[in-house]
Amino acid sequence: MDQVAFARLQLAARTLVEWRTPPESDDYKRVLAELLAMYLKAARVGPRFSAQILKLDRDNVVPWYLSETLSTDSLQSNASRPKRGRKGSVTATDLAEPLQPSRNILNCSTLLDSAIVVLEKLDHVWPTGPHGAKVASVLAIRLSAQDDEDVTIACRALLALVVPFDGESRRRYLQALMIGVPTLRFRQLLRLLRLIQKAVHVGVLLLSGLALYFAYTFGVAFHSVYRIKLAVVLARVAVVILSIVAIPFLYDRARRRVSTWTARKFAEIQGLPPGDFVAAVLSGICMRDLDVFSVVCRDPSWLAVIVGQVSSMSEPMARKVLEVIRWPETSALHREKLFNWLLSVEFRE
Amino acid sequence: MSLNGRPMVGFFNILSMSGTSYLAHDPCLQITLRKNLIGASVYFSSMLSTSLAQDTARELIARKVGELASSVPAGNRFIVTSRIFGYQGQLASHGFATMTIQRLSKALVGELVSKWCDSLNEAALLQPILQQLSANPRLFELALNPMLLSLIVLVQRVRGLIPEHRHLLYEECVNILVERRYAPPEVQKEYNLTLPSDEAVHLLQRIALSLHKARLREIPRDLLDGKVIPEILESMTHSRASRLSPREIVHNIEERSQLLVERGFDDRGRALMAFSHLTFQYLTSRALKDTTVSRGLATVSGELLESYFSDKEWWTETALLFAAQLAGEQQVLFMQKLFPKQ
Repeated sequence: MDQVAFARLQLAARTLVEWRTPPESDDYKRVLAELLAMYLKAARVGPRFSAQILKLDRDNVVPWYLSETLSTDSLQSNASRPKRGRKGSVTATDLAEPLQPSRNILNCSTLLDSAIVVLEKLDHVWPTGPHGAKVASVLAIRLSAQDDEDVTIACRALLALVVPFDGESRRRYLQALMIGVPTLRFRQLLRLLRLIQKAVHVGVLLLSGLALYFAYTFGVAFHSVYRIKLAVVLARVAVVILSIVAIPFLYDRARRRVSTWTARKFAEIQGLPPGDFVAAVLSGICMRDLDVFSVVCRDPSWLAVIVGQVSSMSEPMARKVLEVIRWPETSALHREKLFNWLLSVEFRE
Repeated sequence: MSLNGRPMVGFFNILSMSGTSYLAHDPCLQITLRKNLIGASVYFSSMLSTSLAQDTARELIARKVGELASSVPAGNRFIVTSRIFGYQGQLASHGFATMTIQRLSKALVGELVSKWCDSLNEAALLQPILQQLSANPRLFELALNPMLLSLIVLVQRVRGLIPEHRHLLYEECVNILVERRYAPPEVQKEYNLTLPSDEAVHLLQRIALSLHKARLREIPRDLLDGKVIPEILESMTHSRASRLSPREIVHNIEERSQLLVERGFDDRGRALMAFSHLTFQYLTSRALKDTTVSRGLATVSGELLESYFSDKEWWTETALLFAAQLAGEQQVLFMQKLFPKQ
């Protein structure tokens, strides 16, 4: 295609977008067919573009995207161009690339650590919602359960904390997960631990008193009594120091153990690597909830998580993808990923 | 005015302060800043791009600004703005850092709209504007330009609704600015008595078309007064504008709308006039659309497309805005010209 012919095609596409021409129009079909043929050739993606997407494209996002992306450079032979640094040329392998670094996101230990950070802030930013302790308790209860469903719920809770949902979506999710969870379990547990600590302290004092009493009653030498008193004081100091040192140590160990155990449990139950399991749960959420899907689509890291999992889309999901492609703040690379994803999926009613 | 709580002092405010030592001894801006100016932000707007735009003059201004900045006590902040082409690092040797203004982010769009609403005492405008921007990516794209976003706020204030189509938004902007709908009726009447607003818009369109065809963004004022406007007036013999001198016309349009403004000087020291607010292409396209009545859509479209094919970058926006104004059969005809069936 020469420069003038391409200029014609590009202006025709942009004009149709300006007019908001319906996809059923003959001119629209003609222009789009040429643009798509160019794009598919340049992107080296098989012609799997579903005609159904055109029916959904009420805002003319597809011709807009193609006319903005394609240039006469796209008409040169693929062999003569470098793989990166050109427009409209993302391949299927390119699509899979972001999945590699994003596995870090799905590492259960990292996920849990991130969730804990969010939990710590939750009480301040969300005073009327389920507080951090309650969310933590649902995670602990569900993760300690033996059946698949509870583990999935725990995973969903983790994702609800870590995926960049807006406040309302996160509230809705967590509130749904909170149903049936006893309140303040974590706080009750902490209170119990403090009681035990005090009891131990009182016990040590009682034992010291008893030792003094026996020493006095059975006529132990006076200097021995001082020695016993000194021993008691030292013992009390040791108990306090031990408590101070042991609690953070035990807490960190417990956290690491929970992370490792969670990862192992995901793998055992699902027979999948932990990352894939979390991705599958996230994809499941996206399939059911358009708001969450929209959030995930806008975030390149999380999009990469579900790209490999979602091979079919409902019409509203496709519309959401088109919306994100059209949004001015979406980066060019992110647009490419989304558009190529649309090329690769199947559409369902 | 203040910046981060500091007072801001404009360059010309400094020059105009009386009874102080902020004095311009000659046109080359020999100024001395009072030594007790502390904690102020001194703002030099478009200093290097618009005034005395010759290279030697730029060098001189940069040197003066640099010397001024070096001579004042610490704690004062100097901000110098310039169009990119006017600045070649002249102030770097005086310790000035260079920053390029980026498009607004979504958060900044919200912030600017909010500040406009505060300034206008129209808090109720905020939510409708933000909602319309969020719902319409095309509109949001325009709003990333601070100047256009300010106009969008103005349109919402005057009309109560932001048009979804770009050309309609531009049309509203032009009409509001030329008619001064936000001004008291007596002010509007005064301007209209000299030059009716519809004639002012027509003149703006024709001036834009002349400049666009000549591939010019700016034109010397004497050329505008002496050649372009008289040529346009030849076809406006029945209008009130024909009784005015070109200078009066330009003055009226400049003062009432700020759509055609003076933008510095050329290499020969002549004042340059240019369109502001990115309305240049819109006014050109509207002029072309108007000429279809006398010359026919096929002819005008054909010529426009020829221009577009020969200089795509320069003509794309104008062609799109022209097309946007077509309807029904006109669209069919235009598409046949642009992308004929094989």
